[in-house]
Amino acid sequence: MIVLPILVAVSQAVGGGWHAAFHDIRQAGMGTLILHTLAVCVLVTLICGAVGLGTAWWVERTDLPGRRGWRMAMVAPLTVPPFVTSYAWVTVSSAFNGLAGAVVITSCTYFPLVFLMVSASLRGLDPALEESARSLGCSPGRVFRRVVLPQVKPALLGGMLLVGLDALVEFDAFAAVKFQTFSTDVYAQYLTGISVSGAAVLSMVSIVLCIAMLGGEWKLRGGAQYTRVSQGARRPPSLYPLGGSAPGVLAGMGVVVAASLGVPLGTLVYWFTRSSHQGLAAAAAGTRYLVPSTATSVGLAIASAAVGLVLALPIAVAVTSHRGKLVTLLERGSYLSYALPDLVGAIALGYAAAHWARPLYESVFLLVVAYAILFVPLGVVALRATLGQIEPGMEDCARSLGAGRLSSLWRVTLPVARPGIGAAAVLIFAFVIGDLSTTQVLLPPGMYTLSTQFWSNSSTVAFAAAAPYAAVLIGLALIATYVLMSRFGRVRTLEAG
Amino acid sequence: MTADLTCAGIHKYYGSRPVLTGIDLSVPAGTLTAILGASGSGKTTLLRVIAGFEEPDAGRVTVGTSCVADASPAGASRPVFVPPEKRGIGYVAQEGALFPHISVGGNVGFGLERAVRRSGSRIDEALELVGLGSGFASRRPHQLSGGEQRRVALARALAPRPSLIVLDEPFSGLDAGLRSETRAAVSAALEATGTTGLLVTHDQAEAMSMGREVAVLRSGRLVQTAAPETVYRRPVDLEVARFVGDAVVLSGIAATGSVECALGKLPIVEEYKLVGPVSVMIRPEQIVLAGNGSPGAISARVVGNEFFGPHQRVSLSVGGAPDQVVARLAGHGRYPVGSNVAIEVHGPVCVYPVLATRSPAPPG
Repeated sequence: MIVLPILVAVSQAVGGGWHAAFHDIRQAGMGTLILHTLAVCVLVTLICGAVGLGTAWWVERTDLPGRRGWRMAMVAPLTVPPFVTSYAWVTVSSAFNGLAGAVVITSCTYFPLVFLMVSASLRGLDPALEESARSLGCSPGRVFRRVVLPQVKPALLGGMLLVGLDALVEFDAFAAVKFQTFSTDVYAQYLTGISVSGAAVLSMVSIVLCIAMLGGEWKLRGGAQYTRVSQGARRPPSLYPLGGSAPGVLAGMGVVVAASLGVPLGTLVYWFTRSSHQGLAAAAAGTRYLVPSTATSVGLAIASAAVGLVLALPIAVAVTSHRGKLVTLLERGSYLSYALPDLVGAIALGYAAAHWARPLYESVFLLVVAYAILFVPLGVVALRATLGQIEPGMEDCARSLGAGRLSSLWRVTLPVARPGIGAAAVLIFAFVIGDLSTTQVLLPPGMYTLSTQFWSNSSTVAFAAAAPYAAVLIGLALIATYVLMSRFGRVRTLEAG
Repeated sequence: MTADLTCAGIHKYYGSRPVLTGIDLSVPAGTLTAILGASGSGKTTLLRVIAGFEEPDAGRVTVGTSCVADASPAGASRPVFVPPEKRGIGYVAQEGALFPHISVGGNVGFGLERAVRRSGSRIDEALELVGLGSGFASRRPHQLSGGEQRRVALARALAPRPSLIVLDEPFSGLDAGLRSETRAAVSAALEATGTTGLLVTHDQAEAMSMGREVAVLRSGRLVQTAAPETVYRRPVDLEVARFVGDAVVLSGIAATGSVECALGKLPIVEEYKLVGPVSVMIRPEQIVLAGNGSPGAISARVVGNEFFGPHQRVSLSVGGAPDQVVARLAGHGRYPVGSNVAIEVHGPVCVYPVLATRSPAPPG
């Protein structure tokens, strides 16, 4: 089911004939596209890796004042829709067009993925390891390099992989800053109606790049498995005093928050206050769509989160409880669907439905399935962070007491993993709320969501009218963040009750 | 209810690395056998094969009359493998592994039929078996002490009345007092229900005090399975001798029934029939202070002393012998380094072939 969109896209690409496909690629200005795509992917991945790792370290392992608040602030940008962020940046300055804008905006949106995974991993580290290293004569800096970094490496690389894939297929943000990559070109091909197969061919390139990234991560990880995050670490990790560097760190964190949250929120306020009376009147008139579009968005997101969980759970369970080539392949396969540009995936699903399941075509059901498939890897990542912490003995005990595989999953694993399952659901929820391109392709006619309303208003430069939608989007996002942060990578333990 | 356990020719590989090699073990119904092994010896793997969490690559596991795993059954093409939930074997995991999301009663009742669970009487019974009152049923697992958690884990495993129960280092991580208390509770509960037990441990004292039989596992092989006294007094080889307790090893020349060594002419344990150069194994507590005018007394000089309270380990040098002798003497005496004492050996000693090079050929 997860690879279905890919298969359909492949068949569309091939169906167009290789000759035509080659023509498409040449026309698209292959060299520029490759350069752009690679540049943005590499830069964004590196920046997010550095920012995510640094902020996670400061928030989790130093005596930074107000750590709880910072933790929320570091995750919140993830749930702010990228198209809101990018519009905000473009309004701030037209200098943020092209590569610079694309890199800044994408980094601002996705560094929290790295933060989330690394901070969960940092929290679970056994302080005894660092203390041992200190007593062996390592300075804090060396401890970080030689002990901490190797342990959080899998989490760091996993987060960076997701960021890279996001940058690869990002469309919403890049369109606003007029930056061309494979995924925006896919969209152009689709809009100008040149050919569906042209879009499909381009997305094949994107999949090849994705496979390269998966391979790169695999190699860097050096075959090291994701460690169980909390292996009997009963004591909370010790905090390092920041001392004289505190103001500098606070300033750095402030810059990150200002860029990722301040700009979108500030711009919203600006749009409200600086709009003409006419604009405000139009905005007021438009708000009657606010409630129904909120209801649609929330309903779709809840349904997708549910379906996404159902898809992600078996993968996450298989990956955490078994280790083998087949399971790894399955997990990696789920990333492929992430690397298929949303639009192509959506078109492929629409195509499949139109041909083989006519009643589903242009149905809400299809849209929900599309979302679920698209965001499965996020669910898998969040679930793994939690399931990996469940003591294996627990499931063994359940089985020796007569519960079968499914029954012990239902009666023990899932209840114990409940906080983390909540986090996975919220993550999918937030991404669905903020999604634009899949929504635009598959939303049944006559329906509208917060993101489509924002888009149609902002593209007619009716920023004041767009602002309320963005405000609701961000409001929902902040709620989602709160839930996400309090639950990500957690299980119910004897200590916590 | 109770049933015996038989393992025959169990082999298990992780990749190409053998973890268990030809394990033959039988535990008589209603008794407890302790598997004693160092870490990495494969003891937990053996337990997991029996409980059904791992499939053996060769061999057969039988509980009572039913075969639960057989890698190559006669007259059948597919291996027999009963999944753990169908085996009815109780399992107590290393740290207890209580389910954190349900109450103690919910934990203990987990393996019971719904109707039985509802009535609650079996839950109370099981809790009482391990020495906890029925008042515990409503508590949450995190409100329990470490020892109580282990008892609840045992009650949970016993509640469905398994005929066999396997325990994986059930006392690890408990302090000494709690350990012996919990140990007694486990022994009492198993005895009261007549449940056959298999306990895995790396603790010699635990294995010998709890097991009717002790099975010593080394590098995936069972090297000796016998009553605790036998394993301690007549270990099958020097390595087992050193593993199950302190050992003084001297070189000597054996003749029929006795051996000549630095501590004089000593009688040999009957089972050992070796002649010529041998390694002599003596337990430190066999070496005692010689009484006045004792004919076998030997003079020795104290070269070291470790004080433990009730006893002390006194290192001695005897004559010109290169080997050091360690005696386990009562704690109240004073044996300063440099002083001379007269010692003698009580009881028969064990003799083993001299291991010039580490040849794999085992004795007998």
